[in-house]
Amino acid sequence: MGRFNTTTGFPTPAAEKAHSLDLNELIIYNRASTYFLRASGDCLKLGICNGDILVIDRSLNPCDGDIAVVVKDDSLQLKEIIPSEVIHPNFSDEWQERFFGIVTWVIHKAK
Amino acid sequence: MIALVDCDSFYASCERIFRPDLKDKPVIVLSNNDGCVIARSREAKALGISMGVPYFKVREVVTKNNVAVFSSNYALYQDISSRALETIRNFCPEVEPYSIDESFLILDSLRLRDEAAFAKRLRQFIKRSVGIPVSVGIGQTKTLAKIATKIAKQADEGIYNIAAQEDPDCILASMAVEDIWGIGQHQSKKLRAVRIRTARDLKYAEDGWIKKHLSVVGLRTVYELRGFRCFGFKEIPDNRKSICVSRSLGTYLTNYNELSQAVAFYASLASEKLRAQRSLANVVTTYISTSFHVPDCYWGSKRVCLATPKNDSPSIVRAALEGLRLAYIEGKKYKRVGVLLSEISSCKELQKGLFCDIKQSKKLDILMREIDKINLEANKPLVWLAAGGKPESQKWVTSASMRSPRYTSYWDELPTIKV
Repeated sequence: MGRFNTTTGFPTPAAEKAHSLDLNELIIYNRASTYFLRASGDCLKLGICNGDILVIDRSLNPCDGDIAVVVKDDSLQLKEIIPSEVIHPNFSDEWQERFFGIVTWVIHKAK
Repeated sequence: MIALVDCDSFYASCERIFRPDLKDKPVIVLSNNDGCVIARSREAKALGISMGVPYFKVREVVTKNNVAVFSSNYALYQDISSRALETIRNFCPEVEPYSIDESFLILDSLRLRDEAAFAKRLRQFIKRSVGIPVSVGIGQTKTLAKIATKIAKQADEGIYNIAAQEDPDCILASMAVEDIWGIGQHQSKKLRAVRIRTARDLKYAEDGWIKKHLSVVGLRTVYELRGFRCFGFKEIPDNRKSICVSRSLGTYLTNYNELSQAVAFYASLASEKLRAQRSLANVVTTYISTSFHVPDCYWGSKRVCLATPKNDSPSIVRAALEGLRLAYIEGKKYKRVGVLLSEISSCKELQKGLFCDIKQSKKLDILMREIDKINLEANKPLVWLAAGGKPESQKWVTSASMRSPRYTSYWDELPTIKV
C-alpha cells in the first residue's frame, strides 16, 4: 500500500527521470536517410569551411533557398535551390538521378 | 498478402551510393581475402561474370571492361541494410528481416486496396532516402512472394504481384522446381526423378507422396504454393540452424601451430555469433582445405560433440582444436579454414547436465558478455583467447586490399564533397 509508506528526510528533487540533451535529437530528423559528408574546400557564400561535416537528409523535398547535394559530372556537388527547381513531391526518375539530398546542418569545429 | 523486399545486387549497390561515377558501370564485390566474386551489378552480369567465380579467372574481363572491383566492406553493407530495414518498418509494422538484403512484410494489417501501388511507393522511397534499388514480390504466402520476387527482378518496374495474375499456374510452370524456396538440391533430384519439374507440377503433386519423400516440411512448401500460409511470422522453411565462420587465408599455412591459431581465432568469432543470438551449440565441426585449384586438393573435416550444449569461447575453441587435430595432415599447404557450429538450441531450452557446475558457468557467462561488449564497441576483435595468437603473428588474417572507405561507420572515412 504505497500511500501508507512513511519516508524520512527530504524528497529528492530529481524525482523525474534525468534527461540530458542529445545532439542527435536536434540534428538528425530521419536516421535512416541521414548521411554525413566531409567538406573539402571553403565556400564563404554558403558558410562552409574546409573539414566541416555536412549533415545530409535524403528524404526531404528541396525548397527555395535550400542547399542541395546533387550529382554533376559524375561527382557530388553543392547547389543552392532556386524557385524554379522546387520540386513537387512526386519523385520523377530524373529527380532521383540528379539529387542526392538536402544539407540540413553544417558542423564546424571551432577549436 | 505477403511482400518480399529484396535489394538488387545489394553489395554492388552499396558501393555506388557515394560513387555516382559508378552509375551504369560494371561493379563487382569480392569475398573475404578477395577470393571469389560475391556480388555483381547488372552490367557485370551482362559481361558474363558469374556468381562465386574465383577472381583470378575473371581478371582479364575485369581489366578489359574497366570493371570496378571492391573487397567486401561489411561495415558499410550492414549499415545500409539497417537503414533499409528501418525505412521498411515505417511503411509496415510487421516486418521480418530474412537476410542482409531481404525482408518479408506481412501486409494484412495494412488493409491495402492496391498492393502493387504500395510496393511502388515503398520502392521509390527506399531508392530515394537510402539510395539503393530494391525489387518487391507479392504473393499469398512467403513461398509465392519469393517466386514473385524472382520475376520482379526481371521486370522493368521491379514489382510483381503473383496474386493479381489471371493464371498464376502459368507463371509457376515457368519456375524450375529447384528454384523454389526451401527445395534443396537433394529434394529436387527426387522430384525430377518422378517428373515433377516445375513449381506448377509440385503444386499439384500428391500429398501422400510428398509427405513420404520430402517430409512434412516439403508438404508445407507444397501447401504454400497452393496459397495456404504454412510459414508464419518468423518461420522459414530451411531452418538450418547452424553458424559457420570460414575464411580463405592470407597466406598458405603448413605449420600446425599457425593453423591452430587461425582455427582458434575463427572458432571464437563463431562462438561470438552464437552468443549474439542467445543460442548454444552441441556440435563443433572444423574443416581445413588446400586450394581447390591444385591437383592434389585436400579437404578434411571433423565433428566434435560437446558433452552439454555450450556457447563460451573456451569450450568452442577447445572442441574446434580437437577437430583440427583429427583433420590435419602434415605437409599440405592449407588455404582455407572453417568452423561450423550445429545442433543449435536456444539458451532458454538448456537442460542442465548432471555434472554441470552452475556457479562456474555463470561466471563464464559474465566474462563472455563483457568481452563481447568490448569487441562490439570497438567493431573489431580487441579481446580474444590467447590460442588465437598475437595480432602481429596473425599473418593469415585476410587482406582486403580494395575495400572502399567505411563511409558511414568511421568519422575519418566520411565521403568528401568538393565545395
